[in-house]
Amino acid sequence: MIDGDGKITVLPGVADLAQVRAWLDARPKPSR
Amino acid sequence: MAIGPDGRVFAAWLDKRNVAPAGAANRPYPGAALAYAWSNDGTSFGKTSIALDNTCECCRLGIAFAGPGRPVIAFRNIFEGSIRDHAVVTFKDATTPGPLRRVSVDDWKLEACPHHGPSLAIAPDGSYHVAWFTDGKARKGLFYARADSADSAFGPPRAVSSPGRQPARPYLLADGRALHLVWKEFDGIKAQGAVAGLARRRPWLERGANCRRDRRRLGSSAVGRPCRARLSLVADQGPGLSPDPAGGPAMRLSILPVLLLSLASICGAEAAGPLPFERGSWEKLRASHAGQPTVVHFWGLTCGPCLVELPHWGKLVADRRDLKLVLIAADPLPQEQERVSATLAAAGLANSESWSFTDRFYERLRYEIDPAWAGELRVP
Repeated sequence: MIDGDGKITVLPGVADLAQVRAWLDARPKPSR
Repeated sequence: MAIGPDGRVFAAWLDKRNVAPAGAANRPYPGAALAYAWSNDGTSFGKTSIALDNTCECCRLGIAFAGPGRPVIAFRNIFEGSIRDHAVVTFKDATTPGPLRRVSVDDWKLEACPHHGPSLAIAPDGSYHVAWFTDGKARKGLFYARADSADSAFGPPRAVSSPGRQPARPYLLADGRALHLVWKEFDGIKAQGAVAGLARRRPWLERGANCRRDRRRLGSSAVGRPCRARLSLVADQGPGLSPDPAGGPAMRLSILPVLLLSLASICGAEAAGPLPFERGSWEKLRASHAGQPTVVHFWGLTCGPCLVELPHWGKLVADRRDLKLVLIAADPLPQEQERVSATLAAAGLANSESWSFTDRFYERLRYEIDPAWAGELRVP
């Protein structure tokens, strides 16, 4: 998972998609 | 597959036949089964049998013989807690697998595919020799260990090269009194075949430095005096080692030309097929997503857990329109683009940005993404 500022978070093995959802929730939403 | 001392052909492979029945019975079935069959005439095989269940489902097997009709298989097993460490099974006779003997406790917990298999050699004195890669908690890198006999425990693992050189793809060869070990290294610029001769009674090996060659020079023949085996290297596989039929001190190196394909524009991210992932693609991909939170998912057709996981990503993409997902098929094999596309489509990911390794110098691709990534799927 790569933040807008380039920071990388690695989820090894089979990803816990709940973590991906939580990561998305914590990110600013893209402008449309 | 290997030809035994009695001339019979032994085949062993990873087999998924027990997965569906386990699923139907609501029983978990991690990994695959270790299956085998014999051919007495070299033209057809007899019935196939399962030696044991729950082995790692993608790592290459190592085969040697403890005697006529007594094959030995080295493989990556799945131990309790999804620990993917190596083990050896010695057959008591042609159809009776013996007990599992663990080679080392590396403690590599991974619910995915390491894509690194072991190599096994049995010397004329009956000693067992195994080389393997691990990224476990206990140790990381390429290692070698020996056991004095079919019944004795393996000794302490000894490191081969250093992890920073990405040592991988070991092959062992017991050839009379000599024991050879060859492996691949990658330093971020070039891949090398490295060779060592192992002294039986001494604690460690002597590296045959004169057998090393720059990747770009592997096309020409090379001679390494200490080596008494033929070595072949190809760009998309690890090295293979076989006895020199002439028995002479010759080493032959050859390499297939690197397949270079033209760079594709990343503007076609919504196209049906995966984009070719080549040298420089990672930087292009990062640049095209700069400033946008992005999830990059590495997967592969040869990675069983990845295939199970893909539909869940498809659901997530459908649920979360704010998710910018990039999929990279990173199998260390020539990619079947149609299968990549069909697999993604079946998982509901047809419209996601998709890339696929096409440069067969895959160590370099991995290095560009993460110098510490040794090829397991998914990325550690």
